[in-house]
Amino acid sequence: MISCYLRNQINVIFMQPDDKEILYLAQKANKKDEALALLMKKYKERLYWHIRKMIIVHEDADDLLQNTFMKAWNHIGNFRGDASLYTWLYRIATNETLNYINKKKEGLLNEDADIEMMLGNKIETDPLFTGDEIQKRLQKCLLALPDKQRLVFNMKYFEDMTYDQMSEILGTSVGALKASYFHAVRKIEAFIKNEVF
Amino acid sequence: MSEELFGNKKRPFGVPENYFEDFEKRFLKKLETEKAENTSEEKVGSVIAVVKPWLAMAASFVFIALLYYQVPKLFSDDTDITSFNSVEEDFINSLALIVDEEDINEMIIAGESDFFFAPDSVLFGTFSEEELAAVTYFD
Repeated sequence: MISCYLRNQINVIFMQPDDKEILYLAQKANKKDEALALLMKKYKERLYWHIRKMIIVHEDADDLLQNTFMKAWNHIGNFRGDASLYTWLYRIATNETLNYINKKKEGLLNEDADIEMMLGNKIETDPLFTGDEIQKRLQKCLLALPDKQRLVFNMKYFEDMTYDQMSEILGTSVGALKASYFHAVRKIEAFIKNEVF
Repeated sequence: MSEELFGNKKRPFGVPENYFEDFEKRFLKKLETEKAENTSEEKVGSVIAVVKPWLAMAASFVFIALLYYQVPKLFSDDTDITSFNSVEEDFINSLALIVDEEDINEMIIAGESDFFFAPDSVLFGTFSEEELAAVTYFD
């Protein structure tokens, strides 16, 4: 119990000043709006791109980003500081994204389409997709991976996260994450070499 | 991993113009809408919460009253000779004070019993003659 308390205190000390300020303001009834504005200003873009890479569609990513902030805002009073604010927000965003994908899959069960095909078509037709042919091919290969493997790949390759950071967010061991990333890369290479996409 | 295989790490997705600039405004508007909806739901919920126990109490009183008045009727046997209408019994008793037993028997035999007893009287529902005679016998 004492070590848990000390760990929380250390987390609070080494948080970026903005995070401490945000948490402090969030506890004051008349400063909550200010805290929310700071929270969104600091994290909205990072969280958005984290969601968008998985969801592909902008409108869905926008909805999920708003849901993420809504949940974070409703539960910020319960935030214990056992993880950084950044990790906590990423965790909420990741859970929202994976839950959304699972719901979409359930909704498509009785139809001929699957989510991979649906999002693959979106990449072809979406005017907000600005990548070249190689990037398009990579995105389609990623859609063929299991969701969590795709998530690990995005966080490592595009977001340059360390395995320790990813481990904290996803609650998975560093070893398992390394294995997941390795397999993801091998599969993508095989898809490209075999011209699957 | 080569860029030839995976492409550059630049994000291949775009956003609508001013999306991030307007995000806070749109989100705060959504937050206010949800707060207003929650407040109206809470008001309705609180009214229901206040009224509910009183309704439950009133319903239980009605149920008890129904039980009190209806259950005895469910278990009663209307053809039992002892379940006479008390008003009719009083009439017979008072009649016995002024009319002789033999006169009543004669009247019954002669079919004049309707004069003293209403045709739809419970007393004569399915009575035999012996039972009728027993009714007219008073201690």
